[in-house]
Amino acid sequence: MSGAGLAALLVLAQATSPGALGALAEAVAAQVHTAGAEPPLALAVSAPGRPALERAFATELLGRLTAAGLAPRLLAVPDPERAAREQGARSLLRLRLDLAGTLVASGDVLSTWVNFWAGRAQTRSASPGAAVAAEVSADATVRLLARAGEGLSLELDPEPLARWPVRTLAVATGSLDPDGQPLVAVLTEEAVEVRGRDGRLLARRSLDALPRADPPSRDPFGTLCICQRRLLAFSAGRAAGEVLELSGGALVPREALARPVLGCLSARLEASLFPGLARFVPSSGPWPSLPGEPRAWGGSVRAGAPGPGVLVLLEDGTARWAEGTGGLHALPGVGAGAAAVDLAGDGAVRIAASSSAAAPAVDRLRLLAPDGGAELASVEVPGRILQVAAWSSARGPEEDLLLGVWRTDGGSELRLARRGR
Amino acid sequence: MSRRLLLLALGASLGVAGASAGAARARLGGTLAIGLSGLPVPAPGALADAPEAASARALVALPLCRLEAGAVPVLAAARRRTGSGAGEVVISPLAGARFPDGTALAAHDIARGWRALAAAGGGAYLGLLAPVASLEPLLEAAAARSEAELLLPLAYPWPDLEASLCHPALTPVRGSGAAAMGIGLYAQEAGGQLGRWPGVPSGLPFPAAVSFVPALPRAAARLLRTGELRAVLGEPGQSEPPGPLLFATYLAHRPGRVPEGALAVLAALDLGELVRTFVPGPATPMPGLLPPSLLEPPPRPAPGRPGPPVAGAGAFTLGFDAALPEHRAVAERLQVKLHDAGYRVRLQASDRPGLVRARTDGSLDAALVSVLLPPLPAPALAVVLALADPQLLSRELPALGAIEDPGARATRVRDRAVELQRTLPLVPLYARGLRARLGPSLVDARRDAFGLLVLDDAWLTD
Repeated sequence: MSGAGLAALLVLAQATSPGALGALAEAVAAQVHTAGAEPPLALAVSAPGRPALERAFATELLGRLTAAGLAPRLLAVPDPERAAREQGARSLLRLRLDLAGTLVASGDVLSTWVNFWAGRAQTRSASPGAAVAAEVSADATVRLLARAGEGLSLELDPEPLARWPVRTLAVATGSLDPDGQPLVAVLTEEAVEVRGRDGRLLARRSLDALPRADPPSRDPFGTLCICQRRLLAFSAGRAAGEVLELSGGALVPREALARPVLGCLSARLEASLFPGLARFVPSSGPWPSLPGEPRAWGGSVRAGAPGPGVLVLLEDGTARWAEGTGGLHALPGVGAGAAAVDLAGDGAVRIAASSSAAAPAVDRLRLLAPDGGAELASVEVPGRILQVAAWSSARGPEEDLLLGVWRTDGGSELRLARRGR
Repeated sequence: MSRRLLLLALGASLGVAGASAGAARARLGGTLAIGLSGLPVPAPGALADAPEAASARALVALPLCRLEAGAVPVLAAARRRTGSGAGEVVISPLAGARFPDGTALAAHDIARGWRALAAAGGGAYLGLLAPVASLEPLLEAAAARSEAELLLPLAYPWPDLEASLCHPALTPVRGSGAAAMGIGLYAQEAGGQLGRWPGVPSGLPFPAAVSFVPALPRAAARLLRTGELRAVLGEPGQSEPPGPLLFATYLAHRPGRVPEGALAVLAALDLGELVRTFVPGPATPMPGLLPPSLLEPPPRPAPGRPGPPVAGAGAFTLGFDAALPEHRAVAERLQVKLHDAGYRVRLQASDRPGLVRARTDGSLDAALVSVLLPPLPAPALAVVLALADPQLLSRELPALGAIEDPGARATRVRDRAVELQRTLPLVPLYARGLRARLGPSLVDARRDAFGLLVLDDAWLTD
């Protein structure tokens, strides 16, 4: 709590319907209203170690503050008071959530109106602030949300699923046959391969038949995705790609592919390659709108539930995660491989990404919060992670991660990472 | 693609940029500024076999292939056909390999380049092609025709021919002198800069341009640190592993022209002291006919006290290559040693073609000669024999090539090297490797099996 002379108020709200989180938001909104906060109101919520709970409470509270006419906006910055002043908010609500048997929201609301005549002097408004505190009994939703971001860790399987003497270009997962069996497809410098859960090779098609790109990309690079049980493969070393179907244990070409395809939502997300370079620019399809002229070196599309969206990896080491719901988040420090994953099987999509280190002998697979990129967990992986794909686990709703890793000897391997126990 | 299993996993340890800003995929752009310490600016047409010169030249004239775990095609692929007799090797230029004038690499370019080798002072490297039946007329005919592939029929089995084709001396070049063109990662642009050249089958390099800058030894470290230079060639690195030491130096003499006593003095020379004092590293004494990595050093008489000076015992002329700084130092040291033993040595510096000419026409009694040996014992011996006495090639190689097992072949080569050392007009002195210093912002530089710096996939972190 901060601010001497602030009136303290404690309201014990008993949660019934609409759930503990809603009741807590209701109680906080009522206190903010009573304290006489003026719109626009900046909101900063923290729940250390519980990002899902933090997000969900912020959503509930934003709805109630909006209904109260306070025109709230959410801040996710280290110094919310300064940001609120810079953004022209007239008041700021700072809250911290703690869960220890009961769920407690505590903090303060203060005026951030800047007196023009004060010049550069750091002054606070004369209007009084107030302490805010509320408590509810935690219900099942609160406990689930709290657990979702808690104790997450990553674990790397000790042995690779497959090895190649050449580089991997792209990794995709999905079903290629009518019985829906999840398979992994890998595009290497030489071929497209389909492998089973144990890494066993099921089918292979060489790229030899495809015309060479002129100039080809020196950096081994390509796209691979599974759309409607068909495999769309495009190597930047070739002038054209192929649409392949798994039929009778063989990959049969069904269609030529003029451009790389990152994935499919309502339509194919097509890209254009820069000639001779391992970079692409979105060309057609339901791409999120990205500012400027984005030069991307990777990306992945998550089509299914939960959390469909498009992840674009830009060459400046940042990524954009465009949720299916329309939100666009910037994530810093992301390397050339990343994918959205429901690692815990709790319906919360997070981003698994390689590090942005230049040429690490040991890379780090990082699990990031999809909004803002806070690191939730990480694991060291020998080599360089160039591809990441989410893979439905055999154990239940959890998803595992498949990694295309480049070794220092010029070869590559497919490795599996999963939620740590 | 040019990345394959590397024989020497040095790539990661060379010039790793630590945790500097960058990304997991190669960054595009920047100028690859290379400092040249005591080296001329690389020219496609000049023979470049010293490790530094060969490494730099590859930026403007790539070799046919890179020797790593095997021969990785860069400009051409070689495949073996079992035909009549010992079979044949077919060299096919890769699609997309184009000279800076836009014309595609053809078989006759390769043949013409090899024919010009002797005149450029690289005749010893024709030893790599010695197992090809009727080499001279074959190259003459191939140089005149325009055919898609170059067919090399073998006079006797020679399993190492494909690997030998990756030697930088066999780099394809069109034209000669200042007008010579190679197919490099970079080519001269209108403004005179060296910009990325799209006529390389493995694709465009990552840095946008390359520049060669004369570098003074004292300034190099600072310029590397500040990023003004990304690598310095010609100066020994401090932290990098030395890599293979295959640039071998011999004193070659004309039989009967150097007094026996002087040869005995040379044979008893303390090579360890010579290398430590006069040959900047990485270098090693070479008591045997081949570098120690290829041939376990045979026992050699311990350096004894020089015998009493023999007044007026004899004088002879020793030539050396003016382009190699350690040649002068070593030649002067030998001159002093021989003077103490009573032999007068006249030193004569010349360029590489001049040195070879003078050796051939008899105007030199002895010369210091350096050759870049392949990392495989049999082709290495072929180059040494071509250097000493080309007539030995057809006598020695067929029996070696007939041994199919590489291990057994290497053992036999070593045995023959020890036996031949007594009769060849060569005094082995030392072998050295690449002198290079890499800056922290240069990533993915690697070494091939010759020990050359391969910058094909290198990129800059800033």
